[in-house]
Amino acid sequence: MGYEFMYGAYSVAWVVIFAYVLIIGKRHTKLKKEIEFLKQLEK
Amino acid sequence: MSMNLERGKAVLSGAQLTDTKKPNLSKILFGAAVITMLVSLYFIFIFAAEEKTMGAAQKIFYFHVSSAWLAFMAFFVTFVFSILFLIKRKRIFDTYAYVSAEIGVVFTIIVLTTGPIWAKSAWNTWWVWEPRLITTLILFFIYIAYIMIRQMDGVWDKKARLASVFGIIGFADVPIVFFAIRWWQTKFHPIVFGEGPSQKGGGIEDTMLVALLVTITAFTILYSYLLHKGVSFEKMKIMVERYKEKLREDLEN
Repeated sequence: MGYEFMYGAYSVAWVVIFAYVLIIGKRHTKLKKEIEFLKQLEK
Repeated sequence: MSMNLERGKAVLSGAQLTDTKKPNLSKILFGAAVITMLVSLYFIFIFAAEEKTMGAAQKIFYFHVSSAWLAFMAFFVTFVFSILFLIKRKRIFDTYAYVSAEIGVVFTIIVLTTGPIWAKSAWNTWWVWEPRLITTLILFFIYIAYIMIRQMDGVWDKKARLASVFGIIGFADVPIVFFAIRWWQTKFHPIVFGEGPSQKGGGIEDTMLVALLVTITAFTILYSYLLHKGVSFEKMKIMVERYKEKLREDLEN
């Protein structure tokens, strides 16, 4: 009883958490690329 | 007040831009967060007893309450660091306040999405305009506005000062959210601990309490990881900005 609600709620929660972790990861990757570019520019 | 509080700092070189500081702490926190999350799932789905009237839907409670705990804690950290920033005017305090507010907003989204799913199951409606839900929605909008201030164009220290004031005043809503069901009449939102004008908290069964405490611990560790990661990213971003400024000055001279 109530399994559809439980699965729904936990799915939403995990999607939000993973999406945020993914966004953080993408921000890091973008910044690292920028750092590499700046290092090349300095050379 | 200087336009840029960090201008007097040492000149950077490209090699200094790579983040080599404390990579182990990030890995330790990530590992601890994953392990405690898995443990909490065991406690929620296997260890904790199933509630008789609501059945499996009651298990939403553990993530819902823990997300609310994390959001409140995150906004409290924003509140503390906003005060520290206004007193000391150090950019690191502002960075902690901003990153913590962002995490708080993410977990308020979880509270505001898992809550209506619970509501549909328990009250047969997705949303009711009652004190706890309204004050939580207001809290969400307050910190959305806080993040919008941070995204505005302009000098960072002006934005930081404005956001700090917002972070301090906005925190006033957190105790209101917590006490809403204890101060005002509500037919819907249940009181688990303590009592309100219209109902008494029934408490929870021992296995449920253990599962809740384990989940709150897991969320607290997850918060520590996200805060550490976010702050190290913001620090790197600041260093890159300063380095770009230095390059621009070199090119102009």
